[in-house]
Amino acid sequence: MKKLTFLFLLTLTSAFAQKHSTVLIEAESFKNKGGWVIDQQFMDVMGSSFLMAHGMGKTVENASTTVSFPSTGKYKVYVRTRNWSSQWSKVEAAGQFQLLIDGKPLKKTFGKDHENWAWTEGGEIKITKKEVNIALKDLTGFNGRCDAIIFSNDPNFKPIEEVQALSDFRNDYFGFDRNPKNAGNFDFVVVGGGMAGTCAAIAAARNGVKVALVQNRPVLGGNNSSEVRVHLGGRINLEPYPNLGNLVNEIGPEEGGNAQPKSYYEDDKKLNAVMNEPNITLFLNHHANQVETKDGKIEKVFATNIETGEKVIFQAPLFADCTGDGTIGILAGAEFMIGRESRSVYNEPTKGDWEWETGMGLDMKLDFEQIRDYGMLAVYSNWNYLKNHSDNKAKFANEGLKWVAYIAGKRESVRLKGDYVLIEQDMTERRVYPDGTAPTSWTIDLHYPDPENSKLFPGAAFKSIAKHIKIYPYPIPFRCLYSKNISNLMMAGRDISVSHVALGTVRVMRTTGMMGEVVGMAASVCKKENTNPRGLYQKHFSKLEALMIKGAGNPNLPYIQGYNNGGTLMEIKKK
Amino acid sequence: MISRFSLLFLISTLCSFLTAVGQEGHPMTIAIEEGINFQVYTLYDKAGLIEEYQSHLNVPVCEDRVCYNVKATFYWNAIGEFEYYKISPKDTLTKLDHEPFTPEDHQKLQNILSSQDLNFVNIPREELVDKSDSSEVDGYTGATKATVKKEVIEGALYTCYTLWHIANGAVIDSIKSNTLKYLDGPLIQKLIQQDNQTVHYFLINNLNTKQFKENMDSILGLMTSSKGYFSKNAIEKIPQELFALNSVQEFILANYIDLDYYTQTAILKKLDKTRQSSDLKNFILNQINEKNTFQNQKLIALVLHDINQQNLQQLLDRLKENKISVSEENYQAIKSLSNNFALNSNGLDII
Repeated sequence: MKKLTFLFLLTLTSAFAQKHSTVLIEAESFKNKGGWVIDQQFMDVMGSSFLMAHGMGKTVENASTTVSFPSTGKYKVYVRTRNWSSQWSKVEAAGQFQLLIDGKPLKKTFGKDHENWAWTEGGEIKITKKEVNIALKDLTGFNGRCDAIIFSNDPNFKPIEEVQALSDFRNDYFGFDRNPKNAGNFDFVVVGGGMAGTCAAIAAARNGVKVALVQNRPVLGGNNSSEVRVHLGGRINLEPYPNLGNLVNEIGPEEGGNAQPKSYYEDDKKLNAVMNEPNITLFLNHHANQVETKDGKIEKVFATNIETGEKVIFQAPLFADCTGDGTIGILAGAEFMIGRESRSVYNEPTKGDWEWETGMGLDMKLDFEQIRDYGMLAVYSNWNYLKNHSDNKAKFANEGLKWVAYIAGKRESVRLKGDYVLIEQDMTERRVYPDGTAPTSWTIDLHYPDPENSKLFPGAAFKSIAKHIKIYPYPIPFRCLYSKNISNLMMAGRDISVSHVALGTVRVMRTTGMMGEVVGMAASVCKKENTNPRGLYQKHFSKLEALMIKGAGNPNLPYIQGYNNGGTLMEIKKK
Repeated sequence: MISRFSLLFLISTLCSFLTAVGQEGHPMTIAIEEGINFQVYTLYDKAGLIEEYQSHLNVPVCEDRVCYNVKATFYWNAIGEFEYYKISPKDTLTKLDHEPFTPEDHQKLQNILSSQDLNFVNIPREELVDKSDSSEVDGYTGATKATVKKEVIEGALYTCYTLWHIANGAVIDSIKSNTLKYLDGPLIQKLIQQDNQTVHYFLINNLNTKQFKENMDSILGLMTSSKGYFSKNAIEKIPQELFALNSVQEFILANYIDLDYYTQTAILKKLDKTRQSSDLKNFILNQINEKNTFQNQKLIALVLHDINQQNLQQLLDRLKENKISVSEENYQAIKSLSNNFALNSNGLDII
């Protein structure tokens, strides 16, 4: 009797499985991406990376891939997308696209229905063969976006909307979470491949440390990459450690300027520098998004491949958070700071050159997609005005937009708390500490919403004004470069332990690059002395001092970092 | 006849506002471009010491296609820092379309000429304007690059550019070497009295051992009131042999605590292998304490140099009482010295 039921059940399930199937396709995994770009910036909030038609007003080439169906027949289609511009304008959706099945578009047009990420029903189609080519056809050139596509012939199937449950569904579907690969054996894992992370990895590697460098984009350089195009700022080769910055000079671009042509940012130079280090294993396109800790110590960091969705595990005795956003620190439960402190916190006298910036007053993590989109909207709207409505529109008749960033350049988001929090008075009153490291030299440079622009666009200003206070080069205490409560986590970049006002000087990229050099050197001291960053500070700082005196970059290269140095109070050497 | 008269008149006016200073000797000739150069004269104070440098300029500048000669008098201080300029009312500076400079433009030009923080001066002249743009934005045949535009006077880009390079170009080195030629005791004292840290840097970068020795007290005096990294640099520049001088060691005793960490570190380096007065030795010994973990090993290494039995015993007591760990290197040195003096070095902690 028992046996019979069992058999019966088995037949029933197999019949069920044959009859009903659901096929999930991640847009970012499409074989041919055409003119669409992968955007992973918001995956921690909306659950995935996605494809976006970033055509700056011109439609981009189709993205396409081949899908295998278990059986032919009728399927319902769902597309996860959003109408990104509807929160500002109800007129017509900016980013619209079609789904082509073997070259034929579905009737439904996507990207125009709902403001937030959700599944749009695409109607029912008949699949007549098991291998089908599907494609995304951009209709507008203005950042239509597609996260995933589902085909289902299960009448009871409802696509999951809740982000965490959807994420579980994806992982189960692709079988990822159950067997993440181990990435290898490392002494030091650096998460974030901007100037800070890249310098940290190279400096550590040159001092005998086995490093994994994890970057969530296909290129290195972060804000200084050709994806964001912010030039390096600040000075290198300063007192009290004139050889810090040699590495920044070695891998940094020769030409300055924001939003210049792609070649100005020399992505390859940074990549080659990393590839030439046998001690570095580079993981491009890997977004770190999960951390396991034990007793206030990071044991594992998990990262998801932004193209395939596959997960890998990084294990090491020491980690560096060079993400700029404190991503690893926050996941590990590190204490952190955000926004402007009120004056009473550090008693700093100052409250907190890009002229155009958005997101002032919004949450850099949760509202990030909105902030980036509003920046694009402001660019496109102003360009539309210049070209079609302004008095001298004739002048722009034959002009087109050459480049608009879709990877957002952040000035500030989260700062992780260290054993010390650097404040304005430390620099203005020159309270120098013995554990000083990379010298910061940029003016204390604070950006505020432009009062005029704020009046015109209340709560949504897209222009800013800046205020500058000059300082003497100030060595950032080592205690600002490691977490207070996560014992094996260091940081370099804009997420170090500083107040909002002090961040105004340390955040420029020659300075964050030098922090990276220091953190890389510190990793080698930690390895040799078998200690953690705090132990280094307490007992072995002279070893780090010796490495800082020596530097990590080639000292014999010509100095090419003469642009965007900023003013300081020190005597200036004329090059 | 008339022109000679006006020349005489000019010279006499010049002399009249140089009441405190006089002009002597041959001028230096500074070349700027092919065929164009200017003369720089040295001006002296009543005591006959260099006061400043002066040049009457007459140089061609072209704003777009309109060219004119800039006539102005430039002044530099004794080490070649640009100070200010004067323009006679009839030689006013002009912008594009012959528009004269406003008082605000003059103020801005003064700021530009005395600034070292500008980006546009490092851009080659031919790249200042984006030639690809054919539209006549702000009156140029090409558009001025946005970064450049912020830094210059509108309509006077090339005036700013040319004059900055005159004020901050080859003339600086010529002035410096000229001042160095005449750098004697009284001039050194005069420069030390000036409230200008760049001048003080010029001194510590250029004085020889004898000059350092002769002016030691006033140079050390500068350190206590200096800003930034001057005192660290001064210590590094003072020749090591002079650290054996009593005056220097007394200065260290009196000021060490108040100097910043990097100056202190520089001092400890210079004292290495230098004879220490017994006061200084005691002072260094007393600096070794449980709070001073960043300097302790350096201090211990210094104290061990030429140490006598009594001081070594003090050191051992201090290290043990305060439970101060010693580096491997210092431990070995202490052990062998203790053996020599028949002292007991057991019980020390090694880092």
